[in-house]
Amino acid sequence: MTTSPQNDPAVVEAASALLTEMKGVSVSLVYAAFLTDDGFDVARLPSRVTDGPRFASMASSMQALSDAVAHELRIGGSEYLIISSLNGYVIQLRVPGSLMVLSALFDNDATVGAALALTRTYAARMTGIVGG
Amino acid sequence: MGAGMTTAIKALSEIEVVSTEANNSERDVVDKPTTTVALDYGEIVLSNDEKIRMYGIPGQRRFDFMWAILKTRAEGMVLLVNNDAENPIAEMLAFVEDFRELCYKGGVVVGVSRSEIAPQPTTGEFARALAEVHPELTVPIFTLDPRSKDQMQMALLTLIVNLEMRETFGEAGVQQA
Amino acid sequence: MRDSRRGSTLEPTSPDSAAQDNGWGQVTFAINSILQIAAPMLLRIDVEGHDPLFIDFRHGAFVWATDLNELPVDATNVTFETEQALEGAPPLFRLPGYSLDLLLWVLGNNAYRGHLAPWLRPGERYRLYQWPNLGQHLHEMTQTQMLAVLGNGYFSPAELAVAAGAPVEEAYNLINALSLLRLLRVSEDVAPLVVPSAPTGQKDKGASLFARLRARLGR
Repeated sequence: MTTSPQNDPAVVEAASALLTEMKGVSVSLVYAAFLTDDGFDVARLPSRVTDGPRFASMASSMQALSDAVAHELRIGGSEYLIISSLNGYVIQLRVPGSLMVLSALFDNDATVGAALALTRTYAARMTGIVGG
Repeated sequence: MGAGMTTAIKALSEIEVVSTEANNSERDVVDKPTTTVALDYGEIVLSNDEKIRMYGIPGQRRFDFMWAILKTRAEGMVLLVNNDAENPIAEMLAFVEDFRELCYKGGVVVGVSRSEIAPQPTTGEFARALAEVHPELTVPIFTLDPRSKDQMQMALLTLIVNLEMRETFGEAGVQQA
Repeated sequence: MRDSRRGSTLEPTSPDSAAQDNGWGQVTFAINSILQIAAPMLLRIDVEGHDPLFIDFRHGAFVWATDLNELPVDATNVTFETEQALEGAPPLFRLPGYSLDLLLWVLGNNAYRGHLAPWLRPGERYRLYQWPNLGQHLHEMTQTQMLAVLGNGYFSPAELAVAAGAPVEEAYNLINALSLLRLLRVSEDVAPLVVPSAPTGQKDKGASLFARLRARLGR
């Protein structure tokens, strides 16, 4: 049995380091977390406004629902999902080739394009760490 | 987790079930490869303008936001309890508390799964434990195999007839008692 | 209000009862009598044409070579042997055997053939306080419907039959079985349940959802 990512100290440490770096790159990044497919935190940015484990569970549900919609509509696997709201947006995508997801909350100061590009970059860098 | 919820929806549904299964990283808790992280969805079509919609929602408490979404809209619930879990009676009681309103309108049937592997506790023990906390509730509790279409249909029909009889007699029955 | 258990002896108290004249009625009466005294009894029942039926009440278990699905069949020349188990005595047979509830459900539903069991009294009303484990009992949907009725108020067998749209004989059979399983509250004092003539759930809808789904599923 392989160790799940949230229980692998090396993965947790690498994920935490990536999130810290990501926060340093974008001042609009409010919160971000790497999580497992089934909704467990691997690493997250510190936050006073977000319950990390709960966010991870909801993010995994959203990911699964978007995958289900894409499957139902036969449009291939879902690449990313965006929730846009009055005061910000959530961008979420799979870490390519792994069973992990990167979910990030941005405020409205960032453009969707820039935020998506940043999230993609760090998801891809996580692939380099966990393999894909 | 591991009670057979996805299997149960598949046994009942007439359409291809919409599933949201993800890789299970809690193999030490329940040794199965995947787990439902949002919902399973199935249907039974009654007529051109009427269908029974069935949503299977994960039991792990970290997904309780899904419970909140569905419990305000659901008419009834078949609560599947894995008898092979560490404390299935405590699990049932916790869910009854969380879905209290549905229970009190007669909208809950408890299906005890995996009793062929773990015969204890018996359905009588489930019922007595429930009666200690909620003496006024008479909830159908029975063993079932979620893979069995026949048994899942029995559970669904029991749920519906219990709801209807509660609606018909419930208030008068409470006054009578 | 009281429990359905009542003290009695192993001898039938109303030997004139036609319902009790059949062999299964006698068997059921004997079993019910032992259940009422809640003693650590062992029971052997011999029915002509069948292997012996053994019940160990301490373990709520029985063994019998005869398939319960073969019931009801006539039981003739029925004899009983009872024995109080000594403390620490080994089981009467190799456990687990079969759950006694399986036997009680079948006997209760079949022994008195549409009449009230002799330990129950006319004028009583019954209410379910615990559902039987339908997962282990062969049953009809009409019985499920009657159970749902009984879970929501006190009913006499005749009132139950009307409420569930079932033959009164089936209501008697089910009441007998539930009484045998100790799943009923019994009352002679409670007033009949008054309900609106048109249940709110079925207004303007024709058949109930239960009936429509039953029809749809062919059950």
